[in-house]
Amino acid sequence: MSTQRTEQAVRDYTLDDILKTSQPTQTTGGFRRVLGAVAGGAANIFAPGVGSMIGGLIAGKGGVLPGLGGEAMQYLEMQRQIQSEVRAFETAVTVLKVRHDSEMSAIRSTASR
Amino acid sequence: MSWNVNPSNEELALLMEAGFICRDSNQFQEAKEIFEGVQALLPQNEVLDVALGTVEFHQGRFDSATRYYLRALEKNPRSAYAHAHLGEVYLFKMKQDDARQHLKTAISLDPRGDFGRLARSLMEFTNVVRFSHVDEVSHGN
Repeated sequence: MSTQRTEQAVRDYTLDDILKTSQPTQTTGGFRRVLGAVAGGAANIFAPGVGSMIGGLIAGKGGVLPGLGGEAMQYLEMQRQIQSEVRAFETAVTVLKVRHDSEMSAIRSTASR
Repeated sequence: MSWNVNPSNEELALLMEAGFICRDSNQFQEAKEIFEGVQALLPQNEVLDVALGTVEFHQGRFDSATRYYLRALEKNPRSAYAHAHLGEVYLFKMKQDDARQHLKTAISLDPRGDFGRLARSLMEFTNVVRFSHVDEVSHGN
């Protein structure tokens, strides 16, 4: 029964119809393209390769990630985790730098007494 | 026989730097001896207690470090340097409230100086990183 329905559906589509359905139905906006390029570039710094996919996803280019499906959400979550780790790392670097500055200040104050 | 040692400012600075370099290169015993030597010359200076506390802190001896920092605060309750480091060690001991209290005190005592900046960066660090319990390192003494 279901096989017959499928055959019927195939017969109803022409080659042009199939080509049309395989093309993107909407053109992406300029803002979305720019946002995708920026996000992709930033992500490429931390994880080469992943950024291009994320950028393409936001810009609506399809490719590996045709839409915001489950797999795409995993990439977004990965990007969020990477950004979080980068922020923690940068903060730790700042603490170490400021700690060094404070020790130099302590040396100066001790030597001046 | 008594010694009368009067080091110059440059000599004191050199000794302090040597102590911090030893500490950062994991030569903890040497660092401790240097800081204790300078402390013998400047017994009322709380900075040396903080420096000795950081040597303990780098070895994971948080309780011992805390004692040094508290001793520094007994000598100078308005030491932003001691408050900042006491806040830091409380972070690692999972005493978030105590940590924030001492970090805020350090910021208020030295709002534009290096010690206030250290306290502010540690506060920022607590907002970014979730501390998990760190066991006190046992060194058998």
